[in-house]
Amino acid sequence: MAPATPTDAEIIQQVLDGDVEAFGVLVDRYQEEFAAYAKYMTGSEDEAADVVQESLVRAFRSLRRCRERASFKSWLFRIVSNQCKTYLQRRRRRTEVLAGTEQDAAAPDDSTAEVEAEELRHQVHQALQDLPADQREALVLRYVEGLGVQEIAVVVGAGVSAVKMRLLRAREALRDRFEGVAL
Amino acid sequence: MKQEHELLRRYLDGELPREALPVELRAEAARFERLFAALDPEDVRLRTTLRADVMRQIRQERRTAWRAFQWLVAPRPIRVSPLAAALSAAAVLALVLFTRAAPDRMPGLPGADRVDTRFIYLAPQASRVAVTGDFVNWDPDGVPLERRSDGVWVAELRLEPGLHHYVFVIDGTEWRPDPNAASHVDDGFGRRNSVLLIAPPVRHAS
Repeated sequence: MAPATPTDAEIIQQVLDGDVEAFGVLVDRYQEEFAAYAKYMTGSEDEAADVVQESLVRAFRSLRRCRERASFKSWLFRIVSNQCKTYLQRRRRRTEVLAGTEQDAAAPDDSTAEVEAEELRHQVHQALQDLPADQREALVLRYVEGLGVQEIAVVVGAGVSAVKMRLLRAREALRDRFEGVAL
Repeated sequence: MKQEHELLRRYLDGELPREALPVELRAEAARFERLFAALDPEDVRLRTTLRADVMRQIRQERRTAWRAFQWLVAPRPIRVSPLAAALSAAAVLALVLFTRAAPDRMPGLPGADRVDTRFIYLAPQASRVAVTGDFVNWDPDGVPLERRSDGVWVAELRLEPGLHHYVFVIDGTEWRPDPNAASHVDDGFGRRNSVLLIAPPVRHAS
C-alpha cells in the first residue's frame, strides 16, 4: 500500500518541530499553483518567480502564526496576493514599462493554427494587463486558478458581491475588446 | 454597453451548470471559455531553480539565527586588564545613575521612540477583527483587536513614528479601510488603505 500523502497541516507541524527540509514539500506542492496567478498579475515570468519565491520565504517565517493550517493554501494565496500588490505598488513608483507578455511569447511554429492560437494568447494577455488590477486579480483567480467566488473573496479580502462585480466588469471589458474577433 | 444576461452571469460565476444555459446563450459562453482557455496555467513555467532558491534562503536564515544563538550561549574565556574592568564598571554605574536621575531621557533605548497608538473599529456583528498594515508586513492575520461590550473593537500597538498604511480585517476575510482615518490611498487593486501619520514623541527639556 502506498504511503498516505501528508496533509499541509502535518507538514507544517513537522517544519515547526525543526525539520526545515519538510518545507520543500510545500514548495513543490504550491509553486506551480501560484505561478500563473503571479505571472498574470505582474505580467512577466521573471517577476512572477520573484514574487512566488518571496511569498514562500515569508510564509516560512510566519508559519507559527498560521492558525488555519488546514486551509494553508488560502493563507499562502493571501501572502502571494499581498506580494503582488507590493510589487505593483513598487512598479508604479518606478513607472517602469514592463513588456513581460511579449518577451515571454513563444516563437510561433509553422502551423497556421498554432500561429493563430499564439496570437490570441498574446492578445488576451495584453487585454488582461490593461484591466484594473482588482478586476485582473478576480478574473485570474476565477478562470485560471479555478477558485469559487467565495474563495476569491477570502483571498482578496473583499465581499462576495464586490468580487462578482469585478468579474462582471472584467468580462464586459474583454467582451467589448474581442467583439467581432473570430475565436 | 450590452448587458450580460443574468443566466450567463450566474454560469460564469460558477452558480449554474452549463446545461442550465439556454441554447441562445451557449455561443456567448463558449466565446468566454475560449478566451479564458488562452490563459492556460500550463503555459507558465517559473525558473527551475525556484525550489532550490527558496530552500537556500530558508536554510541560510535558519543558520544565521542558529549561529547567533550559539554565539550568545557559548562560554568563552575573557581576558581583561584591571584598568579596563574598572572603567567598564564605572561606565555601568554612571549609566545607572544617569537613567535614575532622568528616566524620561533615554534616547536610543529599545522602544523609547515608539508611540502608543490605539486602533478602534465599530463592528457589533463581527466575531473577529484584526488590524494589518505595513507595520506587520501585511500579515493577513494581523494583530487582533479586543471586543468591548458596546461592539467596539480596540487594540493598542506601539508604532514607530512615520507614515503607516493599514486596514482592518473583519472575520478573517474582509479587508476594510478605517472609516475614521484622516486620509486613504489607493492600494493598486482598487481598494483603499487607511493612512496614519505618527509624529515623534515630544521630549520635554528638564
